[in-house]
Amino acid sequence: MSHALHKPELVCPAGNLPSLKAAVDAGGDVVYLGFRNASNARNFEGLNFSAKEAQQGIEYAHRYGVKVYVAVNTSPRPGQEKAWTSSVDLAAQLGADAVILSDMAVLDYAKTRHPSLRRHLSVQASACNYESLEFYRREFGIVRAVLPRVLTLDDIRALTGRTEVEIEIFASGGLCVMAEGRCWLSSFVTGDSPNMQGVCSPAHAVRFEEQGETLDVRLDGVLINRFAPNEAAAYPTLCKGCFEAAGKRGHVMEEPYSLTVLEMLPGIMQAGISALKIEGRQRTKHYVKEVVSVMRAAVDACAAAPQSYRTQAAWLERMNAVSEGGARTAGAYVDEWR
Amino acid sequence: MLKLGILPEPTLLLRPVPAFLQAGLLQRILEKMLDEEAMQRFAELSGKRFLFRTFDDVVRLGMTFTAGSIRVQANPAWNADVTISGNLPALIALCFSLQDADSLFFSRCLLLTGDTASGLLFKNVLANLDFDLHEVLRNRFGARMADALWRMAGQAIAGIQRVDGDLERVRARITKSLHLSTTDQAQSLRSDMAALTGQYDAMQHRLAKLEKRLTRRA
Repeated sequence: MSHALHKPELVCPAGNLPSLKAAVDAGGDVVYLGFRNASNARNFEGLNFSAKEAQQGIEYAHRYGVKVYVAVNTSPRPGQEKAWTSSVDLAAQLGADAVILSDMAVLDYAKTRHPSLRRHLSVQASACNYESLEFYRREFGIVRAVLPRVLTLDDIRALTGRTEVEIEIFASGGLCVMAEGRCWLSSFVTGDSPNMQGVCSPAHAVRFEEQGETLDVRLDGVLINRFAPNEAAAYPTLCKGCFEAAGKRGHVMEEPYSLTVLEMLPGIMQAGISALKIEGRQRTKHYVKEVVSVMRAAVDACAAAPQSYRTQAAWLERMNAVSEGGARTAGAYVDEWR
Repeated sequence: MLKLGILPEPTLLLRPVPAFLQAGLLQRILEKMLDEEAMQRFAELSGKRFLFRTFDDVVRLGMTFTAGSIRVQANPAWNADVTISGNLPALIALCFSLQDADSLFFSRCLLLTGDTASGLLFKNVLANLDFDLHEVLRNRFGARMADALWRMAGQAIAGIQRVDGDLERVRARITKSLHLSTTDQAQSLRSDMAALTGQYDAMQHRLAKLEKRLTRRA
């Protein structure tokens, strides 16, 4: 089924108030954020919003007609459900425009207690087929789903042609090993996982050590990468570590590339997608301003004249300057990877 | 970024400034920058000892945190829990939120060693400050003077980064030359070194000119 060209919402990250303001000022349609606890998948030291900061942020965004979504997208451990349900209550109380959820108990709580609050299915739920989306729509009334980064554009087009659920996909930022919401890899080394603690490389387990001219990176004492002098580094995750396998040393699980869809925007905007998500709540306001400005310009240019749309070299330069890993990819959206 | 110690770091701006004055200046600026709420957030770092140093160790400032206050001291004798090393423009950009801090770490203009969790907390508390140095200067000195100061600072940092980049290229060539392993290539090494010496002198000359220009402007 083909779609008319649809201008998607630009959903922008904010890990703090200055980033939220930067996203609004740079032309974002929506800002997404999390509270300062393990209830969201970017639970780093000093990051995220207190209730007071979230209130200020929501007021600021709404003043400029920008919506705010609150991510409560990890799974509570038995006996710790209160932090998750309280986060949903707080989002509703502060006037958030939607909550982004993944755990079924939390989805059920939000549906029961706050039926008028829009529920979006997080990428952490890893729903990637029609039946799965239907299940979450029927049982928990989700109106939107963020798709995991495992589908090709053809797969996504097939989904948007069938489902009533709005579809949101990632447009830029770091990639992971494509087992979103189900990855336990880091827990074997650190004891923590993104699914439960909201962070796959907890900073308390990370150590950077200079060894002469090289830089060693260890996760809970395990050497996972060694950077040559002046080689670009990234925040270390086990999946992007450098290992020896079959006599070769390299990124055996995942290359440290950043996703960008700039070069395939016309195809994406004809695929019936409702929203494009920019990854990076852990980044500063400078990153948010740069990436949101570029994406805003690109989406507007593509919507205005899709036939003559061309990716500007300056956009790519600006994205590369702030991206992690220094190289970009279209990820799974192109089918060459299969 | 220079780390070999063969060539100087572009810290020429601060070399003539005694360390205790550098510490005092940073202390004053931080006190002006940070309101009570920000100070409270830094309180999470109570008991942690931070060291900020340029790669060439010309600048070595310690920072400790207690509830409601930050103390900066020059050349601290204690061992730091967290050390943030960098070239001077990157350290300034980090402290005043002038650039994306993560990009500075990714490009290795900054290096974090020691207790990563406390380092990350420090970075995120700084990032959470709604601080705009340009705006502060405009309020303090008026738009015209502040804009002029801002342009000058931008030119100075760009100049330092340009010289830093040139020196880095020279350093890379020296490193490459030093890795030549056979005696057959001795002649090639000699001519390379002669060329590099010329380039090195030119860099030193440019550094001296930049220093003179900045001193004149200051």
